[in-house]
Amino acid sequence: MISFGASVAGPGHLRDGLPNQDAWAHAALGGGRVVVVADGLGSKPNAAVGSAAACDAVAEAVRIWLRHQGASRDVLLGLIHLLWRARVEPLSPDSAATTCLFAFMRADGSGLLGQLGDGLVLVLCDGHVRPHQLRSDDDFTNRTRALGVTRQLAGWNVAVLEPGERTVILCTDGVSDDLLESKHLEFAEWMNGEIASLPPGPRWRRLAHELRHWPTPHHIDDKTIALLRSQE
Amino acid sequence: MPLKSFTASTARPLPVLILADTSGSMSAEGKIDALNVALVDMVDAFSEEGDGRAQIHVGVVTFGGTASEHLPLDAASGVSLQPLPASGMTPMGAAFDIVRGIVEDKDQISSRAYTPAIVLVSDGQPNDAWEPALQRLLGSERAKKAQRFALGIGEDADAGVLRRFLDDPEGKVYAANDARDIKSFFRWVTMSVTTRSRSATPDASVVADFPPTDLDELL
Repeated sequence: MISFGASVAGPGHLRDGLPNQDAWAHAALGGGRVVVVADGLGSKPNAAVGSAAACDAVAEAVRIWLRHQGASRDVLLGLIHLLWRARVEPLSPDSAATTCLFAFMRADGSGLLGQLGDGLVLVLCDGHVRPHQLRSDDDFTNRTRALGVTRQLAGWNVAVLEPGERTVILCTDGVSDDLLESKHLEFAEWMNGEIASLPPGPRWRRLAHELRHWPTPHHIDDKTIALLRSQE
Repeated sequence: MPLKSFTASTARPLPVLILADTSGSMSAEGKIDALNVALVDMVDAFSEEGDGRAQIHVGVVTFGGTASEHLPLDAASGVSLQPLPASGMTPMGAAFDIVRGIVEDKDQISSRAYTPAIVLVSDGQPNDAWEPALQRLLGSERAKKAQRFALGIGEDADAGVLRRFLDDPEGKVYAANDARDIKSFFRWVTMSVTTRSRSATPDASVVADFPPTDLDELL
C-alpha cells in the first residue's frame, strides 16, 4: 500500500503570521492504512490544535475499532469524537472546531471513508472517479459540520469501500473549492501517476511546491492533499 | 502536467445583485440621480477590491414599467454601469422572479460562489403580484440563503414589503430621505460586502457596524 500527503499554510495565514490550520496524517494499522486530513475552522482561535488532534484521534480510533470485531461504524465515529475531545481539553471544543476527512483501507482495497464538513474525497477505481460526497449545488457552504460543532453522528458522511484496486484522495476545501468538477478524473490520475510515482522526498517537495504555488487568483486558504492506494 | 490544468482560473465570485426601483416616482426629487451616483461609487469600490479572497460580481435588475436585467451579473472590475432611467409602474414581483432565476442558474452563480447578497431599493408600493413572487424567492434553496439588504426611499416607501423581503426578525429596513442617505446606504452595503470578501469565511454574513437610519425607528 502507499500513502502520502502534504499540507501548506495559505497566503492569508502567512500574511497574518498565523500557523497552518490544516493537518494531515497517515498510519499503518491492522493490515491496512489510514489517512486523515483536517481543516481547523478559520474563525476559531485553537483551529490548529483542533485539526492536529483530529488526525491523532482518527488514527487511534481506527486502531481501537479494529481490535473489536463487529463494532459498528457509529462506534468508530463516537470514538473519534471522544478521543478528539480528550486531546483538545482543557480548550473548549468550539474553539478548536475542525473538519475531519479520513479513509481506512486494507490491502485488498476494502475499507471505510468518513467525512465531516467541507473538503473532498475522491475515489479512483478502474479508470473512473467518483466523489464520496458531491458538493451540493444548493448549498453555498457546509461550514457548520465539524468536530467541536456537530453533535450528531448523522452529520458524518460515511461509505464502505468494497475490495478492489483503488485510490482515495482527500483534500481540504482550500484545494477542493478551486478544483474544477469536470477535471476530477484528470486530477486524481495526476496524483495517482505523476505525483505518486516520485520517491518520497521529491514527492513531498513537489506536492508542497504545487500547493504553495496554487494557480487560482486570490486564493488564501491553507491547503492539504493526501492519497491512499491499495497497491504499491 | 501542471496543477493549473485542473483548477479554476478565476477567484471565487461573491455575487451582489441590486434590485432597483426605477418607477416614474424615482425621477422626482433627484432620487434616480442619487441612486445612479451611489451605484457607480459602489461598483468602483468593488472593482478596486484586490486583496480579498473573493472576486465581487455585480448585477442590476430594475423594475420600472417592466422588470428587466439592466446589468447581467459579471465581475465588478469589468462592469460599465449605464445610468438607470425612471418611468412607469412598480412591478417588483416580476423583478423578484428575475433575481430568483439568476440565483438558481448555476451557469450564472456556480457552486464555487460565495453566498450572494441581494439589495432591494424602492420608493413605493409594488403594483403587481409581488407576494407569490417573494414567496418563491424566499422558498428558493439558494436565494433564501442570500444576505439581504433593503432601503426605502422617501415617505411612500412600503416598509412592510421591504421587511418581508428581509425575512429576518433582526433585519433592518433602512430609510433614505435625500441623496446623502442613499449614498450612505450604499457605502454601508459596500463595506459589508467588502468585509465579507476580505474575511476568512466569506460565506458568513457580515454587516458593517455603522448603518444608516433605521426606518423602524422613524415610523
